[in-house]
Amino acid sequence: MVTSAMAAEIRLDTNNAQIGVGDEVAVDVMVNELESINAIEGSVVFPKDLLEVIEIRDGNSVINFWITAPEVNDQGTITFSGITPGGFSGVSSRLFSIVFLAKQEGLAKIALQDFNALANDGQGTQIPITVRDVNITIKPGDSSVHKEDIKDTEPPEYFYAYIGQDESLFEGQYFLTFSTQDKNSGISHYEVREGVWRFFAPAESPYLLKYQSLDRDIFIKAIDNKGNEQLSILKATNGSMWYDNSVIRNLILLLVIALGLFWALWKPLRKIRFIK
Amino acid sequence: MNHQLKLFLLLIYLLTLLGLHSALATTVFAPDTDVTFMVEITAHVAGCGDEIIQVGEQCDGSTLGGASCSSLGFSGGTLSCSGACTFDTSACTAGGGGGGGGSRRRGTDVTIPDTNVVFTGRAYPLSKVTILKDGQIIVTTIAGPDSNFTATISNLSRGDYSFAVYGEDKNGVRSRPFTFSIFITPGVITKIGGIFIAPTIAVDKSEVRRGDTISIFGQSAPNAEVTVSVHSDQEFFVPTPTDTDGVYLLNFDSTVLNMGNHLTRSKTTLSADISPFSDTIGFLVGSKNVLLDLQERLFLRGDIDMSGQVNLVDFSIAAFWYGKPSPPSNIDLNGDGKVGLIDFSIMAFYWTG
Repeated sequence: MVTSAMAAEIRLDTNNAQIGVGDEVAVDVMVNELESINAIEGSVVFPKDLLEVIEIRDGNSVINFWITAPEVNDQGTITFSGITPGGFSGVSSRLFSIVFLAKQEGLAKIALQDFNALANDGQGTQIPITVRDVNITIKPGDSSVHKEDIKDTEPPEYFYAYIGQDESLFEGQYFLTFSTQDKNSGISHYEVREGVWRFFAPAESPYLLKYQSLDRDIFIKAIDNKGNEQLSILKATNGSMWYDNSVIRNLILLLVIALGLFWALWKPLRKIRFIK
Repeated sequence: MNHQLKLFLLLIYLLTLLGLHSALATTVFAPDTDVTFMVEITAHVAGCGDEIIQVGEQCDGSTLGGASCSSLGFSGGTLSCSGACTFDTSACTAGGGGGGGGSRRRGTDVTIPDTNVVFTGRAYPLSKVTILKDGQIIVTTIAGPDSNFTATISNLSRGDYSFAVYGEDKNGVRSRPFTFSIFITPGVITKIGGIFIAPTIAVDKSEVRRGDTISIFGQSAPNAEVTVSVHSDQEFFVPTPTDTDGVYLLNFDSTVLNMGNHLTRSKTTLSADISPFSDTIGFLVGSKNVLLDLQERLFLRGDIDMSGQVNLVDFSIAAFWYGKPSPPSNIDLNGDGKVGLIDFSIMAFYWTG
């Protein structure tokens, strides 16, 4: 077994360790490590009577794929796990940021727990870890409330989706996998549409395909936390049906509209001709 | 009736035109390239403080690679470089109104050029070279007969990216990926040059009878020297030339090795350039010869669906079984009876995208 001589440091960073009630504060979960880490998991614990999580930002994270995306539970704990193929290293690698809202006065101790970082060595060797927590002093608020807003006008990164099939998942039926990143506000959710005649619906990867014959184009939308969208289209593997085409769909819809208009105008037109 | 028919046909014609226009309008055309900045990065040994931006560095000393506060989204101020070779934006001023990171100005009189990353380097003659962006295949290219390759990725956002570049030899054996992280500045061409992909490596036997030879072979740049390392208690270094196709072959006499498990790996030297080490592969020195066929040599740990790739599909299957009892044995990569972080770490190491 390869052992790592140097410990990785996981730390919580904030630019504002003293805030007022009603203020927002961003806390970054950072990693310092000279050796390459390719998998990491852990938890962030905070006093939920003093702080409320209003947003978790994983945009521009060094983690490429979340096994469990960072999410807050009722106990005031944010847990996560994820991987970076090929690994990451460096003095300040950001995992994600948490935006808290200060609810009441007090000393808010935000702590890191149960962290586990594995080396990119093909064996999953555990890397020794040191952690650095952060304390935030919350004082009475005043009229100038600090907001931790982020501007984002760019869509998520372009991405490809893949169709998979394995006996251990969905009883061997075809499923769709997709993932991308947003370098600013982070991914909010995905939506999938199979074929042109259906509507987009929220979806998670892996997504069980409704049409197992794989004869429909599949449209996958990634939407970031500011509403910017990126569309990826996976062409039908087995050739699409002649009517499952956006141009044909538009023409059929227009024809229906035209017939409707014609039917609606038929009587008035006849009257005009009769008057003539 | 004629008037009505004409009116109807005119209506259909107009609506058809409208439909075709809206259908065509969804087609995305790439904007013209209008590049004003360029950053050149050489994939040699990183060294912060040498005034040269290298892999893993955003800047170095006074060298900012054409970046400025405004190119990073701020409205003004002075950009500098930290001691860790990352941008120091503390003296930049935020854009008007609201806190947080500024936004890029997109007025009609402002042109924001494309953000491109150009990769150049050396692989194997006429080999497939694959580039991953944040773990997913973004582009593949074929190296020339001289083993040199170039590839470009366009339209990236501002932010940190991890890239991996690997080659695939004529037997389908993949190299160890060359991985690095880099901050991409908008409106800048970032050139990643000097990538020297590690040689591929394979052995013809999983077990060799002590005293017999074991063939260690692979592919690298043509007319270069590959140093093959065979190590156990004592490490042996054997220089081996590559031919005009970049192929090398070492028939290693196992007499000098003790009975038991051994490892081998290789690296290439060409002129002043040295590649990283290849994958490390093992073999056993024992009492019999056990040949390996091509399929066994190509086997990838983590390729759960046996597609020949370790990618998002395999990740999704493993993630489904994460923490669940009694997972299938092919998903439990370390054989500890559960799918946990170690299994994902193994998968991430063998990841092909």
